[in-house]
Amino acid sequence: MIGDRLQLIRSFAPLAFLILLVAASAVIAPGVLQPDSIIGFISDAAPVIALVIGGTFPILAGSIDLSVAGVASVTGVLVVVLNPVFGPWTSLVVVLVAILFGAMQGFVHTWLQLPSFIVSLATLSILSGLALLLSNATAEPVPSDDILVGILGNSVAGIPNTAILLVLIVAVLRLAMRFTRFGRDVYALGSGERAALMSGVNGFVTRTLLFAISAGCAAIAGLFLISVTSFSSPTLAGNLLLLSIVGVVLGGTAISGGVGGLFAAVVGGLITAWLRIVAVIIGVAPTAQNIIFGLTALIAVALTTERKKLGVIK
Amino acid sequence: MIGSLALRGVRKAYGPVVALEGLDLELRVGEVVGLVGQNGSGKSTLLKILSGLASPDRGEILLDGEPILLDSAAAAARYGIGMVHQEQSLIPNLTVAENIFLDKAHASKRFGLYNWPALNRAARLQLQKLGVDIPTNKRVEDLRFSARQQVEFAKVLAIEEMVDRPPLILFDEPTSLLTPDEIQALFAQINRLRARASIVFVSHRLEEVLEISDRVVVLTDGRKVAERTKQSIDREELYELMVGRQRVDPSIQHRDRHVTGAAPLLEVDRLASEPHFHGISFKIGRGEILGIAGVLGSGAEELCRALFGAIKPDAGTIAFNGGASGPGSPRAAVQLGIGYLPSDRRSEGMLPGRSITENAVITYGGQYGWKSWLLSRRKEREAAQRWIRRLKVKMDKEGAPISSLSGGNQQKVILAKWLLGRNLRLLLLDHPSRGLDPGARDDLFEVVREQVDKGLSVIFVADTIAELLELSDRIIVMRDGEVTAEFNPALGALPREEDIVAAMV
Amino acid sequence: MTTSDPTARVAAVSEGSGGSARNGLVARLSFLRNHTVWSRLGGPLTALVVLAVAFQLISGSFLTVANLRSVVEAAAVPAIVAAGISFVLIMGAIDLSMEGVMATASMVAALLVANGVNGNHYGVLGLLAALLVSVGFGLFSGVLNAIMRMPSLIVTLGTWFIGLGLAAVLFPQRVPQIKDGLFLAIAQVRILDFSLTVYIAIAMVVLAQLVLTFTRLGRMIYAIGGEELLLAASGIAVRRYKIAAFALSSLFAGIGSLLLSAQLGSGNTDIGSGHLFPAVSASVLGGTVLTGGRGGAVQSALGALILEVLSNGLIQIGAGPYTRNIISGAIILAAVAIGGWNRRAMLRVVK
Repeated sequence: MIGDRLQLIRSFAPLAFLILLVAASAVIAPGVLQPDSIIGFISDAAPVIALVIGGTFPILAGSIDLSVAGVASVTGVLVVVLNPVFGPWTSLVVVLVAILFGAMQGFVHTWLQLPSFIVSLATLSILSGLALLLSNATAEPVPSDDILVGILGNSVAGIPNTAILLVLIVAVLRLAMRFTRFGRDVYALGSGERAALMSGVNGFVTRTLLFAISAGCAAIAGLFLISVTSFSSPTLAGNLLLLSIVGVVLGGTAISGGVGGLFAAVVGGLITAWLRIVAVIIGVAPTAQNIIFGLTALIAVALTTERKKLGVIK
Repeated sequence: MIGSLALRGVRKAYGPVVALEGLDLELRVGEVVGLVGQNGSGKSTLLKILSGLASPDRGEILLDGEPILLDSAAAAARYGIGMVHQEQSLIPNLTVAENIFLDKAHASKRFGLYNWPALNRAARLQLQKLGVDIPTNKRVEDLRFSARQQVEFAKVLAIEEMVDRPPLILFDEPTSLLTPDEIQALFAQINRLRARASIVFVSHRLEEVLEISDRVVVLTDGRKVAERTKQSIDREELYELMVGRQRVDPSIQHRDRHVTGAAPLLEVDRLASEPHFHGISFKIGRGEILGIAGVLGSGAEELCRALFGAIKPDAGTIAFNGGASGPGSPRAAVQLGIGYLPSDRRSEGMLPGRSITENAVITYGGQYGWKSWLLSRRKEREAAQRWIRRLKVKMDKEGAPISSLSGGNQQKVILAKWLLGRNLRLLLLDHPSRGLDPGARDDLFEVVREQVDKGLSVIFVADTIAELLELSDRIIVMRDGEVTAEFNPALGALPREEDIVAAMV
Repeated sequence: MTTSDPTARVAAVSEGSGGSARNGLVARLSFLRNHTVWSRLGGPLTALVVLAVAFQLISGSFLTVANLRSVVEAAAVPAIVAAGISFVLIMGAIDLSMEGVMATASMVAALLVANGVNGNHYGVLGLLAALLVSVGFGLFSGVLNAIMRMPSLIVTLGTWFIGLGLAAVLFPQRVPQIKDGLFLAIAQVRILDFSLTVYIAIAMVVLAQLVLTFTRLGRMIYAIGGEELLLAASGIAVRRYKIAAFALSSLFAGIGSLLLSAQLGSGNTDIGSGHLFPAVSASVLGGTVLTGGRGGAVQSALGALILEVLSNGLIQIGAGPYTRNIISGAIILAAVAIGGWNRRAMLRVVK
């Protein structure tokens, strides 16, 4: 079957690309595969991977969440600002708030039937304003008594705790996708929304959950970021908006929905994070990386979009 | 000036389905030709060929004896052919004047610059031909439906000035959404045009066709089966001709009814959803198959959708399974145990990218798991496999995407999706055999019958009358959103097909 | 935002019945009076007046000549870019690339005119080159969207960051100060107490509206937003109009960028930062529906003015400078929600 083979290529091409990328950079700069560099890579890659995982979920159902970078930034700010109130448990509270916020966003998107891009673009604007307002546009050190951020800064048996948490998140989401109704409904909505609704899928609850997951992952990405820098700034995740979308499409998840998944998200996140390393190796200035990521995103989208399904392309 | 357009031996097939076969037809200036036929008789294909939207596989089109090529709407317009579409072809947010000249070059739009006063003047001239006064700078979406149709009409008439021959105007079901007064106004305009144009008029309402046409052409199964002048029309004969080869095999033994005397499963009382249907009342018992006959636009499909909760009724009540009110959404219908096999299989029936199994378990898979949200993938797959085997789905492997199956097998999987439900009580079949080969259809009907014997109730909107008579315990006929006849084959002899057709058109 | 002014309708009817006898000039003028654009300005204009009065009542210092002048000055560039993005929004598509285009245009212009970094002094040619580059971005997005059939959202997200990256690459070791007198004059020359920027903004907005109302391109942009499939089925070459709309949107972004660069006196990679979202908000406030088919350049510019009144007024009554993003985000949600409320339907698919 031609369809089968295409499917296979779509799921394994990104992995092959990742392996090639790593191999090539190892040839140019053998140091990148040293244990130290790998551990450095993991803490560098963790925020991106978390954002990509979160961003993948709405896209699987054909929506998009452009607010993830904003959520990550506000998370960092809130961990500092709310510390006097919630003490050591602040970051946990903030993650819960973020999940609630995401759920609200999904709810507004489905209940009012507003396109997700405009809802999340609006919340991105609100969130970036909020981050500036709450922090008074200054970077602050992260309080040392915050338990979650403290844990994330450490490692167990040489493995950074960020990596362990990431694996845990992936495992939980994987189980939910495979063994609950939710997982199946997500793909149903993405591959044919009308048919899914006519089959009794609850589009409302499913979408709300998707955006809750997306915001939750973004908040955790925010924690990863401040655990590395130990400073929180209102523009912490400012340039990660594009990276999160790039990661989603590079993993093979189609922007048109219904194709892709967690595996693709992890691979896409790794590719994106590794591309940043490659950029450093071959001497692209960090500021110019945007060109590379913009172009790779366009190429990946050109290759993976199912144009027939979209009908009129706006 | 006498002009004529003739079709000679035109054939058109879509895959294995032959839509038109060996069609000869002559259209003359000064004459209205009425086109009648059931759904799928080839009417719309003929209109598409005449308006340049489809090319015939065989045969030729002659204009005043010279063969011409109609390969696009623009080409058709060059020869003075225009169609007044059933679903209007106007851009809603442009003005009346813009729409009339949308697809035409005009002096007021030279060099890509609009001279609005000139454009409006030209449009007003076109509307004056129809004797109507519609502000030309109003946006089309702000007009009433009948006014929009006048604009559509004016848009076609404007072709007149582009060519130096009398136009050929095709009317595709122009009356279906008009009030009686508006219909009479439309007829007055057609009569006014009659002398200087040649006109084709298609309607599913036989009365209207007989009123306006000079000549009536009957299409059945893609062939011209009759051509009658106004004076020589015999209604009974037309009904008979329209039935065509959909004769029921007289050897079919009607199945025994198992309708219990208990309370009906579904009771519909004066249900209405404008403009689709109104004043619909019927009951259906447990283990009964109710067939609904009706041409496109009769409201039968929308009735099904309303019963499934996909359309909100404006008035009337639905009582389901002992008093519960009807479903407010498809989701509620699913929970009540109402299933729906949509006529638009591709966009409403199946999830194209997902596997066969997943399509089968999407709705009721939860019933095989724990508390309906934690799935047992093994149990639900086994249940799906049972039904897929029972329905004789031909496939390589069940993990393949459903889109890799043939249409008939896709339909079987969609049926399996509903049969997986342990509390399925009512199944709505909306043109279930559309595009299916006879074998797949028989498999499908066999399983449906078997389930009905076990107490499932079915509402069945059929593609053909033969099918309807074959499967139904009771038949209602709908026309223009109302029930026009009811037959009860199970109580006595089968009704005559002609009688059903007479109630449909 | 569907203001249906009854008087306009009556006027339209009377014009429809007996207009042909009038002479050309009068007909033209009466057309302007009747056309839908004007009847749709009522809502935004009312909002503008209500807001201004409200702020005056609260702060007591809003309606001063100096303050109103500063509102107009501040609204000039936002109005240009809002009018520009309207071309794309009316088609029902979206253009996120503005901030990237503006960044690159600013750097190109600053480095090609007389500046403090290199020896170039191409003057007007330099500015034209910057505008050409801007149009290039739009053409690129348009081709990817219309011919490669990729969703505009993702395409322009890509070009947005490509633009930012290009600007970063072009950025020399130190800030390129602009030394070209003509270029700087745009911000410095004042006529009747308004800077040239304001007049350019008015001219651009009017030009955009003229394109939308009086050219085939403009009308097809509306039609694409109305019923694209029908349009294509009528045999109209839809793709070239789509590409042109993206090009126009980017051109307007480029012009906005040049005006801002002139104000700043240097090329800046951050010049467009924070302009995208207010521009979309302004369009929506002015009555553009994101599903396409409705809106206009003048309306969008009025929307930009409303946003400026709002943020100026809020600062007057003591809200901090960072509330601007929050408010424009909240406004757009509210405006889109209200505008789309009656379009909700049970099985409607909204992604």
